[in-house]
Amino acid sequence: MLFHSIFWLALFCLAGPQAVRAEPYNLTSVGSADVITSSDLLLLASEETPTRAPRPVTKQGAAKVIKVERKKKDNEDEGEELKKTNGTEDVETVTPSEDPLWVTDCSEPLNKDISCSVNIIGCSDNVYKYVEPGLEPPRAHDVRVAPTTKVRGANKIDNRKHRLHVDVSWQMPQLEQNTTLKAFKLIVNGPDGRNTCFVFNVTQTAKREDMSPRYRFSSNTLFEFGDTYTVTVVSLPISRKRAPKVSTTSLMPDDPDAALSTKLVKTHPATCTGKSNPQASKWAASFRKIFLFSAIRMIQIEFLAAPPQYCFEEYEVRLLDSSGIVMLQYAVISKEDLKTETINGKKVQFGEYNFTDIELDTNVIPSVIPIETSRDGRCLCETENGCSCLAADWKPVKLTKIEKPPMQTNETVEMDDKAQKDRTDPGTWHWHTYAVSGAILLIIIFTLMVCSGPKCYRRFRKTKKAGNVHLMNENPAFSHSGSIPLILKQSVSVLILYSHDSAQHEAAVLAFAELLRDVFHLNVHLDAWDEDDIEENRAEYINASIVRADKVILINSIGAYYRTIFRHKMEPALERVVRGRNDGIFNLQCELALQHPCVISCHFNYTNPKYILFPVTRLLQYAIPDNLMTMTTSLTGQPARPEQLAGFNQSFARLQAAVSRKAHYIESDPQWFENTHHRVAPNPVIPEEEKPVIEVVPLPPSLRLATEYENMETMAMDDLEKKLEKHQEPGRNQEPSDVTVEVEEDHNITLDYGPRKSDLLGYMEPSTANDVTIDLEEDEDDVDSMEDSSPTARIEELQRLIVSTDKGHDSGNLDSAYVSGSDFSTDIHTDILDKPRLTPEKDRRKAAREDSAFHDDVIGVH
Amino acid sequence: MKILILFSAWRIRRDLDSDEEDMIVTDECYNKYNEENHFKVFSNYLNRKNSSHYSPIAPSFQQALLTLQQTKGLRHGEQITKSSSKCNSRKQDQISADTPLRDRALCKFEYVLNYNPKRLPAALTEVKCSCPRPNAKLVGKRIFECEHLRYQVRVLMWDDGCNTFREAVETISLACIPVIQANVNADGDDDFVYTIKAEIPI
Repeated sequence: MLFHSIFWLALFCLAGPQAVRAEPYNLTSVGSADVITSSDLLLLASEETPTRAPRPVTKQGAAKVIKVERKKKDNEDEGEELKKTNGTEDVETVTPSEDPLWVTDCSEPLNKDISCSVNIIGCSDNVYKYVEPGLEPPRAHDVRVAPTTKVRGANKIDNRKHRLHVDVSWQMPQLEQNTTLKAFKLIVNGPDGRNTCFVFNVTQTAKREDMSPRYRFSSNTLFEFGDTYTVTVVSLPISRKRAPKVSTTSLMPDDPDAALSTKLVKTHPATCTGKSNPQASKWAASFRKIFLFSAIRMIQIEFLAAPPQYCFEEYEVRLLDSSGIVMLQYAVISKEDLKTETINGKKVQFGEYNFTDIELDTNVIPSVIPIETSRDGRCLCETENGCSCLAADWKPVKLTKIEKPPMQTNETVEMDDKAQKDRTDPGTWHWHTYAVSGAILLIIIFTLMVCSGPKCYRRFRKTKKAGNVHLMNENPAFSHSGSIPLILKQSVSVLILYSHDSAQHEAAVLAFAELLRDVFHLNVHLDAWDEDDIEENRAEYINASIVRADKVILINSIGAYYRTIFRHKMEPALERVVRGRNDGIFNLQCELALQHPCVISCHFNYTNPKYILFPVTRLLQYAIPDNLMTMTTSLTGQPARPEQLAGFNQSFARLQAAVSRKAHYIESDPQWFENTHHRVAPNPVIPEEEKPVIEVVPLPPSLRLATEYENMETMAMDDLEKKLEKHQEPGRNQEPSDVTVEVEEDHNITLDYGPRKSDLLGYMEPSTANDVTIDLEEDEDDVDSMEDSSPTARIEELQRLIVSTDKGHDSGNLDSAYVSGSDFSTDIHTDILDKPRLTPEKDRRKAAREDSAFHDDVIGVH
Repeated sequence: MKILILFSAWRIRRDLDSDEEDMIVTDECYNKYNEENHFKVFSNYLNRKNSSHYSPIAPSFQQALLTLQQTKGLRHGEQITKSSSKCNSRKQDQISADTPLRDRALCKFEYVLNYNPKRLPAALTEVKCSCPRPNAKLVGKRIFECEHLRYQVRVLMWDDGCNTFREAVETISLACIPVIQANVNADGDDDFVYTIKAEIPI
């Protein structure tokens, strides 16, 4: 004994402050209960980390530990291995020497001010020289000894079931003499006088007022069940007079396995009624099985339950997230549901649970904790602080995604064939019968469809036509006057009116219509989509489309603006050079549409807001796509949900693309409008085929309405007008030969169709109103008479529209009653010139309202 | 419970005597005052009760405490506040800054009376957690527990006949705080963790 202690002492002195590797465990044949197997050596590194919080597992990695094996008296050859965890955080994985298990660095990774290294020493060694009395460092602060009885989790349960894990920790002293502190000496005095000593070399470079690091030392093997240990922490260097030290004595809990073997099973129920085990709060469970089923996203867990003397009645098994704080799933397993197995003559109880629906590639931590309160309300895990049991967490596990298996080998192919053969034999007769019966069924269905198809179709057409008669009464807009319809699921019927300015504009309108239809589920009507109806009965369509619609969206554009102006000024109509089939519908529809109780005025971004039609300038103007959500709120009557357009919405993207295309087109060709439009002379005999230029008869002076217009407010000129004026100046009575448009801006279009619209307009010209009224009646007559006109020559189309009839040319016919002249127009232009106006992009709506003759604060009613 | 406290009181007192010397701070008025009448006055003040103020330590929000009735007297363990919510109540829509913290706490608690007629002071108010866990509607699925935060108060304890008294320490809980659940790393080999791979279906 003495020889060996001297031998070891000599070894330590020679080695210096270095860790000493133990002799291989297999030499210690005696006392196998305390011997740690090699697998223990290798794997315990991650287990003995300090208990949780905040543990930077991913960054720091698992803490490497040095194991301590208690030196047996009998095993003289057995060495010692130091096992510890150090610092308040995980240890840096610094392995200085050849042995990967030794860690001499116990510094705090997150606090670079602290550096530490740990060594095992002989208990009588003096690591540092003595210092003068009075210069000793202060004592360690708040020394804690926390024993835990941990079940040894393994698939194979053997005799040794529990292990005593002791966590010793202390804090740096908080006084100013920290600078003299160089090391701590930890002395563990066990029973029988056995001492084990360790030295923690500590240097602290910077002082922190508010924080004091905590050092930890833990061991699975140094302490024994049921014994009393005294742990002393001495601050080094010491003086000859005083050694600053703190001692705590604690009694280790009893071995639960020993209790099982000695006590009878019968007494267990008696001990548990009304009582609780005072050591229950120190017991930690473990696992027997953790099976990861990636294919079905399931984790099967079997945990080891406590021996009966702990009196636990229920256990909670749960899956925590990788932080260990959030509980993803849990289940309560009661005592009665535990399974019992007899292993090696001992009864082992374990609980089982399957967690399903687990996310793949996500770290989860299996954990089990006994429920601390019994069914009758008493606390089963008494602690100093109250009542709490100890949760046992395993390492994070993960279900990995299953990758597709590689191409089959010969074996699997053979298996497939076999399986198929097996399947085909019994299945052949099935196949035939199914095929035959299926064919018969198909034939029956086909014949039924053929017979009933046309009937249904005809009936449908009839009802549609018949229904038109009753549209006025059925229109919920008229009958309900804004109240919520009874059938809430009925989608809002919307009619979009627009003028066919250009192919890009039509494309933008189409994209807009599709967006409303697909995203907001409105029942959208567009002249391009109702071609059949138009073809069948054009005039009826114009009426019906407006009456049928719950809401009418009027898309203002430059073409719409001028068409309307010229129409109501009874001037030569504005038409496209290459006319589309439905070009003329706009004017007729527009007039009627403005009688609709619910008109929503919109314009695309590329349309200058001054081109808002006068009757609707009082209404709220919606820019598309900027004010799309607000507009749909007014359309649907429900608050718009931003998620409808969230993310990448294809329809919205298409709309934006179409709008930007048109904007680019405008930018690239600022004179696109005059290049593609011209004035059409009001001639009733006008042929259907388009003449590129139509000469307009100038208005005789006597028929000019200049006096009326002089009193009106006028809008500012734009460049187009200036340009036109340039054209006009050389010869006022000349019409531009190949270039088009005049731009007239009549601010005071009073679309007064009688008393119905008087509330919409604030300003009226009685004379013009009457004129307009009369004209409209004439228009309608003309429109009706147009039904019988036969289509004439077709016009070549640059775009997709095919002109089938000249019904679109009704504007010309309608205008036949009006007279206009270019010189009359130019008079207006001079007036307009005098009052320029700027419309900044930002302030469109405000500008529109300001320019409006009707300075109302009323937001447009839809 | 009481007996345990007494024993611990003895032990603690002895520890106090044996380990450390008393610190006498001469600046304190207690050490400068020459009379002795303040002892009696302080004892009276410590133990004085009326129906609304009956404990030398009491929560700041006094108006929430139950008004004691002379006829019923004081009973140990009597709950002197009543809550208007349950353990899993929904968060209130409006909470003003002046709302007492008892209504805003994550761990619901009530005040109870700790009464011992053989003690000076006889009545103390302490906190008792109402729920084992914080309201799940507030903390979600995080595993927290509600535990009592305990303090030690020096008291005088009389014997059964009120003839002699001795110094004692009473441990009372002054708050109910949400804490992280106690946990350790489970012990075991890795051999029980298996990954079951899916078989290739035929």
